[in-house]
Amino acid sequence: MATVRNAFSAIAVALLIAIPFFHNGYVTGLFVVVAIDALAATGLGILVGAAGEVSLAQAAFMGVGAYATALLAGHGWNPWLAIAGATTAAAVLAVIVGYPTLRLRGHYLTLATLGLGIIFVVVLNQASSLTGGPSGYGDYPQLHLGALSLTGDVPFYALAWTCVLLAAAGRAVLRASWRGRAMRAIAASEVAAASIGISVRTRKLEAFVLCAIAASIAGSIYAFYVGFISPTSFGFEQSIFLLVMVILGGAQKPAGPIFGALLFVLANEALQALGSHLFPSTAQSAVAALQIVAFGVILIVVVRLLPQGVAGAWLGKVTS
Amino acid sequence: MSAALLEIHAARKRFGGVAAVDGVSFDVRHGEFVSLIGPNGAGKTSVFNLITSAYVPDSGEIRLEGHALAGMTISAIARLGVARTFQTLQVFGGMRAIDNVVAALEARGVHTAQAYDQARQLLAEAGLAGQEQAQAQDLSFGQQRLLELARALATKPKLLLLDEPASGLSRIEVAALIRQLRRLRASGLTILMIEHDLRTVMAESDRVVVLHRGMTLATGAPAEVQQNPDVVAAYLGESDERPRRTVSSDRRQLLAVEDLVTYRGDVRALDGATLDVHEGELLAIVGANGAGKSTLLGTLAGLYAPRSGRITYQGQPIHGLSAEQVVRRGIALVPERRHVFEDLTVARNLEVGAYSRRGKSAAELDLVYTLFPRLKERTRQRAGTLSGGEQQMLAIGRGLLAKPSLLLLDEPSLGLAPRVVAEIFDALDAVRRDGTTIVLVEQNALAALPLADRFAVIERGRVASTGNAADLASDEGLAAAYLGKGEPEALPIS
Repeated sequence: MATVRNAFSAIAVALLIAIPFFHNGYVTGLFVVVAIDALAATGLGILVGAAGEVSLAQAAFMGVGAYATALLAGHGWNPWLAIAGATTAAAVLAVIVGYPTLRLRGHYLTLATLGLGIIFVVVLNQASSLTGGPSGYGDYPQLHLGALSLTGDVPFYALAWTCVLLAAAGRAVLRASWRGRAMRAIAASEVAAASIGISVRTRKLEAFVLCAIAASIAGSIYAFYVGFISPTSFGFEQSIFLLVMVILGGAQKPAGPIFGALLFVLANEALQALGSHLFPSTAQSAVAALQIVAFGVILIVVVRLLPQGVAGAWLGKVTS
Repeated sequence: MSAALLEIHAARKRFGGVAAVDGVSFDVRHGEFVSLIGPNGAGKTSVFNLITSAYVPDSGEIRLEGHALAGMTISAIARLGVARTFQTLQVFGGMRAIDNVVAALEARGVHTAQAYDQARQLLAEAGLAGQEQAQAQDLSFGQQRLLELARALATKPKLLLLDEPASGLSRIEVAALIRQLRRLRASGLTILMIEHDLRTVMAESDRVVVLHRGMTLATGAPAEVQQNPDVVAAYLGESDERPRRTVSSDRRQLLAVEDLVTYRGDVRALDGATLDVHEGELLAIVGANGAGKSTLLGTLAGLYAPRSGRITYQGQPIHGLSAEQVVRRGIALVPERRHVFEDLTVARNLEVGAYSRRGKSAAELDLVYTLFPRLKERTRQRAGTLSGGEQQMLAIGRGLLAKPSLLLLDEPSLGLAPRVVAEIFDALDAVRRDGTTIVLVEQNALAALPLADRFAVIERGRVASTGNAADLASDEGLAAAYLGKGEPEALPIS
């Protein structure tokens, strides 16, 4: 079984490397989107799988990354420094939201992030002098690497997937560390974890900050990739989608959220194509509604049949 | 004796209208082994939760080595040297056994490599050598208890709180546990233990603290506490001197079981069981652990499909029916470990019981409340906050609201103090007098026998013998062979 899994992993990595060489802009672009979602979902996977908390503001943290990066770069910062600045801002915001709510027992972080996820879009729309409001913001330079300008699908494909693999590797390292063990203990039984002296609040806050950082970097990459950002990309719905990806792929394994993002984005494309094909005359919004129904069904099936997620079922028990 | 390590003074904690802890005071001195006993619902686990700050006391003071613990977090108190195990197991599922212990070592700053060495040692001392790589949730119940103990010891505690460490353990495991407790005590560790197994409590403790209705009833050496008439009355209730019942054999047959074979996984748990149940009787099914008692009840209730054999109920075959269909025919099962809906109120739990016949009436609810007045006082309380005994009463009440002709009960006395067991058995007696037939599975057989009309002994998946309850009690050889003991659990205190 292990041999088969290794063979499949090798094929998966080979395919990942091969995709840009097909010179198919659609496919490569689709996989950039997968990577950006996978990065944000990997961060969320740390919070859900390793610390037993749920955030409903992961898209808002992507938005913080995207907007802060674009605004800083638009005001003359070096784009790479802008990314670093945006990441710091997201981390600080995570501490501001997480510190008070994680001191309370109960689902207060979930509630607070629910509020944040909704308010964030309102603020983006209202602060139009800064953000461009609903019509978006695109007045910022491109990403450069030395003299090389990073534009188009292939450079971002490489950048985004590198970040995804680094994030997954980082989570694997965390998982094997004392900090990761403490987080998993909290996820398994918070009261027992506290009763052996694990600092529950601190570990949860760390997980939440890591979760926000991953989302923010995903947002930064997104901002430079599309070159124009608007509030609709960071709405509450996207936060739910990211949570679905984590559950779909499995929160416990580092590879889970990546599988989840891949399945989600591909299924989304397929459903969109199918919807337009089956109901050519129907309005786009009706097709979108059908998509949500289809995802609901997929989610129910996964939760019922594969409670560990697709990756959990596929990779089996990890002996960490 | 040296100074007190732990001092509890007038601690109080209320939940809604119920005082879980209503003025508890006692102390534990350095190096002492103190046991905390009392009937179910006396507030023992709540006291642990107050010491560890899982609950915030409404008033009173708790001091460790003279320092007040008020306002500290659970983890801060753990780092001060208070470790605990849990009545309901709280191992870290999804992690290996060794990582459960390593996490505790690392929490007090032991470096990872040393932590793994020490964890191996601690697991070996707990009797879990060879289980290091097993996932914690895959260990047996007894092994998970031992893992919790090893994990607690990994914090290098000054004070170890054990919440019913022997409950659910086999006799061999209990013996191993006692050996380990003696070793820990010899090493100077201070231990405060909640335990229902009074034989262990009286033999092992320096002192015993008795709680009753959230208050300290008595404190003293085991011999003193055993002599204290208040304790005997509160803890044991009246001794049961009722004569065993004998029944006439002219009752009609309600249920017939023939050659029933049921598999649980790969295990042939029922291996050709044959049994009759008569209308209006209380039949006690007794037998050793793993003999197939619960599987028999589960098969009757439609939870497990039999591989072969017949079940005839009121003249109709019912084998192969689903659990819902069996309930609609009038057979209700009160499962082992109660399985109440913890997040629902008492009243809602009872309403769920009436679900199968799509109706409930106030009169029927009142009937349950008459049987169990304690439930009436707590109708709006969440079932998860009830004591074990109250949860058992609720589970029985829920079963009764299905208006069964046949009530199946699996281990209703499990983990409960004798006094609560007596209360529950009295209620069952009333239910039987109202005409409901009862089949009762009990490991603690002698406690059930005064109540039973007839008994059936199950041995390795077959009904080895049946007869009138009076006959079983008089046959010492049979009792010794099939019940594994010659005296009830509660005797050693008297």
